[in-house]
Amino acid sequence: MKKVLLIGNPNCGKTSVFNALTGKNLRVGNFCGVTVEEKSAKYSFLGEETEISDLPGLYSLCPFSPEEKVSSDSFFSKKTDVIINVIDITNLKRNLFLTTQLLEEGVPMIIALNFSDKLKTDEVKRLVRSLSVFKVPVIPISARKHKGLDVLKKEILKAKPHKTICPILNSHLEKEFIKEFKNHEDDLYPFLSTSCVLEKKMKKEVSKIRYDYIDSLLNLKFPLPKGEKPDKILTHPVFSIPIFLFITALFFHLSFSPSVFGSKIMSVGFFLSSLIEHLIEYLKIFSEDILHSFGCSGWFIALINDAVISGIGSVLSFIPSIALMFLFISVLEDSGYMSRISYFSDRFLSPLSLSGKSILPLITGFGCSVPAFLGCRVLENKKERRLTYLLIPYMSCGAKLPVYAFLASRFFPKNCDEIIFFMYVLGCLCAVLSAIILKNAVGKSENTSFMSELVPYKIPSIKNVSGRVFDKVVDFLKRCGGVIFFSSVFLWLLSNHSLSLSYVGANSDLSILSSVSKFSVPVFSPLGFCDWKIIVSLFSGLISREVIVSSLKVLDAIPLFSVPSALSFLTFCLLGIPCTSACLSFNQEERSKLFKAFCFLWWFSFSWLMSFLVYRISLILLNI
Amino acid sequence: MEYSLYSLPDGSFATIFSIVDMSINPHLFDMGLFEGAKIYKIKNAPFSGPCIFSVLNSVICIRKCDADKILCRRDK
Repeated sequence: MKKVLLIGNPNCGKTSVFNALTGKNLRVGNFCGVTVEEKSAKYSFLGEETEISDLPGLYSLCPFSPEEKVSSDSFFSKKTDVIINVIDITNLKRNLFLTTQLLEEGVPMIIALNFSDKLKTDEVKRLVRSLSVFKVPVIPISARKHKGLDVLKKEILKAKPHKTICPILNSHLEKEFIKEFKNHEDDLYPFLSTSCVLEKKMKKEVSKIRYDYIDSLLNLKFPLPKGEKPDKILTHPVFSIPIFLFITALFFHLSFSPSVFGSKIMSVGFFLSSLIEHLIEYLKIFSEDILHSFGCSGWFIALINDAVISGIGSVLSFIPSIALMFLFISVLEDSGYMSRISYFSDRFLSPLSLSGKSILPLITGFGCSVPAFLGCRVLENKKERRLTYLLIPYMSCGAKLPVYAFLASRFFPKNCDEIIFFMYVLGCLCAVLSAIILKNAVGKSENTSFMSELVPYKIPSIKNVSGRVFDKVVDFLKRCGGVIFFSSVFLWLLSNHSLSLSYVGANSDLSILSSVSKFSVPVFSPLGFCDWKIIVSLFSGLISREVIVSSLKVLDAIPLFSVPSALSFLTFCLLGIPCTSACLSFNQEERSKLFKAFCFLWWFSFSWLMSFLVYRISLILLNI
Repeated sequence: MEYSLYSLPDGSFATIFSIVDMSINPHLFDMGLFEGAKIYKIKNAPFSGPCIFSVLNSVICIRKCDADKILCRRDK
């Protein structure tokens, strides 16, 4: 079986090529840094199996960030039979810079000229002829339109494990430089600092020679891009941030509001959620009748109705909200707007020891914290990475949304969307506050660097956006059937049985859960959580945030809330320790045990403090 | 006229003649930013925020502190 690596510049379409070759549906997006880890898949062509790996993008073989190091390490491990250098044909000169480095390593290589449908056929043919000087196959393809893929697959099969050395520069100095990077395991940032002046001067000279070589090879004449028309408004000095906030607020209003612009029309999300809630109520009545007619015991009927149907049903009704949230994030990612957000937010993030690049994992955190922690690999600076890790849980992930919507619709039925939006804003404000407090605690002060490519805008692809939304909905449904189902049943059993394992039913103060958890009440009573049921529901969020909704329903904890305690509960749910999968992802990314312990301590204590403040302030404001 | 990349007027073409400090992100060299490179200045963000310019076929933004270290001559 042949092993193939896809390597190329960021945003040149490697993942699209990977998806087109293997039929997989990995996440693609229109910004640099979508892929941050190696992903592999197999496909069969003409009876032969091939394993292909997708890698994060690289500008050169000298890595400056952990995600670039993943690619560089994978390339130098020499465990591959052939590499496909994916090149964005519309930005050929810059992409060929990496090609000239790859060719010198002598690994069998194929050049895939992606986006070739964007140029005229004659122009593509001319470029293919010019690149034949490299003595490696050059295949024009279009991953988007599935063109040229069979030719590429045939070339992969033909590629023999011989060395295709094409010495262009073979700079001894540059190789030493790359070797230094390979040996530097922990932090690559020192190479970005002023201490490597000599090395950088050398790197600049070598880069110049490489570009001169490319110029001698291809007579490329193109006008310098003058910026895109939408940028006149979307990155406007005054309007850029108000426009961003307006787009976000409008999305929340149109998705979650019970009445659109004060009219009698319900928003899409609110309407669909209410519809599902009604269906679940009917299902409960129907199942009770059926189970009664079969002569089932009261215990079994309570288990099915209160644990299974109510528990899972309460979470299921938020599928439309989750789908809408991912639709919004996918459109942002696919349109090219993400890199603009990173541009206009840099000025406000730099005083916090963060850069505009930190905004990418933070926005990913609005979808899910797991890829957000992985996404921190795009950050070159260790301090910036650590600070971003600390702030990710404050971004309201998709799983927190059902909790907000559930409590907001019960305690603030008329201002549901405003309360949800407020929670998102509160998360961002707490992130800023934490960054101000912690910027000196997470590492020594360094000047963070910021360099970002503003990718061309494009109309979001329906296939990409719908694929991502569909994947997330399926993932959510799987969790409903798995973790949420089991935790609902488990909580119901513990809250309806005493330590002697007898059924206590409504008298749940005698239950196992009550006996175990009532000791924690003094810790949380200053936050307004005076009953063990609220505390258990809150901590069930460590399994996954949606579980909180099913726990509140299964334990029948809603009547125990007042408006201030509901707000305090939402704050704790927003800022508290993230769910288990996010913690595992964080654990995998960060090595220092001390820093990890600090993070958990911070997340808990800060969430406690903020919930306390929210509770006390709302008590004062509501004159309770 | 000589300018730093940051002070170069918006909408002007220029050629880089010096990079005065090597503390800039080395990826800029990989992207074709060195002495002799042609650039087009797009704009600066407000409150001394990052500046946007194009080099080769890419639109890049960098911070003011880095853009100040890149000196260029405005093309006629």
